[in-house]
Amino acid sequence: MLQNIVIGQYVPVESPIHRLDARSKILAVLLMAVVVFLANDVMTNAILVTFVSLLVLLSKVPLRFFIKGMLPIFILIAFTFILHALFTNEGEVLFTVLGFSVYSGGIIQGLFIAIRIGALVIIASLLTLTTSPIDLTDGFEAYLRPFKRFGVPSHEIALMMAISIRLIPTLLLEADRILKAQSARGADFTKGSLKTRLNTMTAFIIPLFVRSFKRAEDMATAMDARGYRGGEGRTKLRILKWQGKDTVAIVLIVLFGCTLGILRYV
Amino acid sequence: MHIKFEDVTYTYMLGSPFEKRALNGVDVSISSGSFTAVVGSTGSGKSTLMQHINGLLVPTSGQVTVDSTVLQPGVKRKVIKPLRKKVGMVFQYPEHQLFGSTVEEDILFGPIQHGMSVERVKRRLPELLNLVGLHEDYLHESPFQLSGGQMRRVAIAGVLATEPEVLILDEPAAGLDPSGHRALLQLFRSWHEEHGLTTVLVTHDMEDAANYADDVIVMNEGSVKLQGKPIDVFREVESLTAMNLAVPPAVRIGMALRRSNWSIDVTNQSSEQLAEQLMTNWPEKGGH
Amino acid sequence: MSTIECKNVFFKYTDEQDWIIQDLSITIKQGEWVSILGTNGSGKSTLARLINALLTPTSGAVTVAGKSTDDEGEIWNIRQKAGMVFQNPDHQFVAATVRDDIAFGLENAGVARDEMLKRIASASERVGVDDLLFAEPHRLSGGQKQRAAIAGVLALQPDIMIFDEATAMLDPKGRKEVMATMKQLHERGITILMITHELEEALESDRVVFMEHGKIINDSKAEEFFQKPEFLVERDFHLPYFLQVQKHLVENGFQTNYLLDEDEWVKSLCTSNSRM
Repeated sequence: MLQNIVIGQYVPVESPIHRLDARSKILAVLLMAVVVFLANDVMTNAILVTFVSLLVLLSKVPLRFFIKGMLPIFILIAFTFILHALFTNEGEVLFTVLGFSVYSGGIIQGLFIAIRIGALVIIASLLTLTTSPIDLTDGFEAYLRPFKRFGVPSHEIALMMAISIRLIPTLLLEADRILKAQSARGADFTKGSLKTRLNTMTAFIIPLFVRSFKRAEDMATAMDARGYRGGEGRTKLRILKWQGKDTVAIVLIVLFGCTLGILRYV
Repeated sequence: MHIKFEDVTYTYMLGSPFEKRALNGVDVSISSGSFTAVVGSTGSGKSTLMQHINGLLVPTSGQVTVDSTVLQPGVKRKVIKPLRKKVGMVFQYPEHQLFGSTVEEDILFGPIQHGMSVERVKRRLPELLNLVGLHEDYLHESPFQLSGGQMRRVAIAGVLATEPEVLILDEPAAGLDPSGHRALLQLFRSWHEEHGLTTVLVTHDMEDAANYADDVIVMNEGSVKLQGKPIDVFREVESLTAMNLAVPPAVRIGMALRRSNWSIDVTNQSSEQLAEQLMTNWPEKGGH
Repeated sequence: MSTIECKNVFFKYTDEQDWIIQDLSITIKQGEWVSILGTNGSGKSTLARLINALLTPTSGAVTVAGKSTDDEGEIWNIRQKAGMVFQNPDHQFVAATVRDDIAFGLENAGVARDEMLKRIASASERVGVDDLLFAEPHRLSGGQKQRAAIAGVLALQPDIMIFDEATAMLDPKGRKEVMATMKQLHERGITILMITHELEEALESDRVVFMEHGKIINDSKAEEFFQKPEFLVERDFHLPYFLQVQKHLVENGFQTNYLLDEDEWVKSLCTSNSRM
C-alpha cells in the first residue's frame, strides 16, 4: 500500500512550471516572499490573487489535491483573519459580535493579511509540488556551494537530504510491518494508561531504531565498497540547466513586483 | 479452528487515486486442524489474505469467519482483540520485531498483552526455549547479543508463548541457510501435531509445501486458483508454470521419467523412495 | 587481467577475539566462477570484504592485480576492479532512482558526464533494467533492485564481482534473474566470487571453495567437489533432490559417478531405459 506514497508532495505531471530549473523556482519563491508585502490596497491585492491563481492553474496540479493539502493552513489563515477583524478599530462599525465591535477597517485589514500569508504559502507549496525532491536537493546544493569556502559542507548536506528522501518509503514500510507484528502479539497502541501505552510504544520504537541503525551501517559499507570518498573529485550525473525560460520566469516575477510597487507608491 | 473466506475483496488505499485491489472475491476455506500451505509468487495476494485471519486487515467487501468470529467491513475492535489471542502470527524476518532488554521480557510481551497468567507462562519458558532450540540460559540475556538465527528463534518463542490455536507463518524461514530452514519448518510441523493447531504456511517454496503441508492453496493475482492435496495440485504443471511457480523436484523428475516409460509413481516421494523404485526397475538388472 | 591472491592471511577485529580468518591462502584467476561455501561463522563474508579492501588483513597479504589492499593509495582502484553486491537489496540502494543509483559509483570515481551516460546505458541494458531507469526503489522487486545494484557495479567496468549472499533475500523469480545475470557476466570474462549457502547455485560455478573456522578445507573444481556429496551431508547441507537420488544409486552401485545437471541426468536415465 505504501508503494504509492507521494514523497515531499511532489506531483509528477507535465507543466511549464515543472519544466523550470529548481534554482529559478527557489529564487522565484524568495522574490515572491518580498513581493507579496507590496500589496496594500484593494487593487494590488486583487492583482496578487489573480497572479497566484494563474500560477496554480499553470502548475497543472489537480485542484482537489491542492486544496486538500492546503486545508490545515487555510484554517490557520482564517483564524488570523478573525483576530484582525475583531481587534482592529478603524473605519465604521459594521456589527457587534460577542461584545466586540467589528469595524470595516478590521475586515479589510484581516482580508489583506490573509491574502498575503495565503499567497506566500501557496507559492512555497508550488515549489515542492512541481519539483522532485532530488531536483530540489540539487537546487539547494547549487545555492549552498558558494558557502563552501566558509566551511559549509554543501555536498554532504545535499547527499544527506537525498538519502533521507530515498529512505522515507523504506522506513514507512518497516514501521507498518513492525506495527502489524506487535499488534498480532496483542499490542494495543490506543488503549490503557499512559504508562502501559508508553511501554507498548517501546515495542514499536526500539525495533524501528535497531533496524535503522543496522541499515545505516550496511549502507555505509555499501557506499565504501562503491568508492564513495566525499565530495572531492566527484562528478555529477544530474546537471541543472538554466534555460531561457528560467530567465523569463524570474524577469516576470521582478516585473510583477515592480508593478505592485508602482501601484503602491505612485 | 475453521477459517472461511467468503467473496473477500481487499483494496489498498481505497478512495485515493492510488487504490489497488489486492484480493478479488476470494472464496476459500481452511479446515480445522489442517496444515495448509498458501503458495503464490510475490504480489499474488497471499500475505494480504493471511492478514485477514487475525483482523490486521479487514475485508473491503465480503466476510471472513474464524471459528465463531465474523470479520466484515466496519467490524469493531472488541471483536478483533480476542481473535488476536487465538491467532498467532510469525512474519517474515520475525527477529526484526524484538525489543526487550532480555529474552524473557521479549517473550512475555505477548502473554502480558493478552492478559495471560504471567507466572504460569514464566514457568514454562525454559521448556519453550528448549523447544525452539535455545538453551534456557539465554532467558536473561539481551536478544540483541544473539546471532541472527537465534534471534529468530526467540521471536518465534514469543509468538508460541501466547498458545495460539491458529498459527500463521508468513515465510518464516526466509533468509536462513538450508539446514536452519529445515529445522525451523520441522519445529512448526511437530508443534502443529502436538498442540492440534490449525497452521497456515505462506510460502513460495514448493518443496516446503510438498514436505510439510496436508493441503495446498495456490494464489495468483488476488484469487485462489487451485486447492487440494499437495500431489493433486503439483500435477497441474502447466498452470503452475504459467503462474511462475516451480513444481517440486520429485514430481518434476517423476513425470519426466514416466514419459520415457519408467514405471514409477509420480508423487511427492522422498529421494530414497524414488531411488528404490528406479533400482527395482533398473533395465540391466531388473529388466532381464 | 586481475588475479586475486591471498597469502597466509590472518584476520580478527580485536586482539581478544579468535581468528576469523586463519592462515588462508588462495589464488583466483581472471574469468573463474568461484563459489564460497561454508557454515555460518566460517569467515566467508570476511574473506569477501578482505578482497574488496573493506577490511585489511591482520597479517599476511591480499593483492588484486598485483596491488596490495594494504596500500592506502590503491584502495580506490581495488574497489573499482573488484565490485561488490550485498545481501540486502534495500540497504545498498543509495539514490532516488535506478539511474541515479547506477551513477553513484561513477560519480565517486569522477567519470565525466558524457562517459557516464554511455556507461549507464550499456550497464543497464546488460542486466535488463534499462526500462526501469527512472523507477524509484520502493517500486521495484527485490530481484530488480539487486540487478540495479549489479548494473551500478558493472558501470565501473570491474574485472571481478563479489556477490555476498546476494540472492538470500530474494524470491525464486528474483534468484533466477540474479543467477542468469551472473552467468552472463561470467561469459563476458568477469571473475565471479559468489558467497552462498545454496548448493543449487554452487552447481553453476566452476570451482568450489569450502570454508570452516576461517580456513579453506576444500578447494576443487565443482565437478569434482560434487562427486563426494558425503562431505556436504556430514556438514548438514541439504543436497538438491536429484543429487540425493543419485547418492542412493551410487551407494548401491547403480551409478558410478554423479551427473551435476538435473536434465542431463534425467535424460541419461531415459535413454538407458529405452534400451530395454
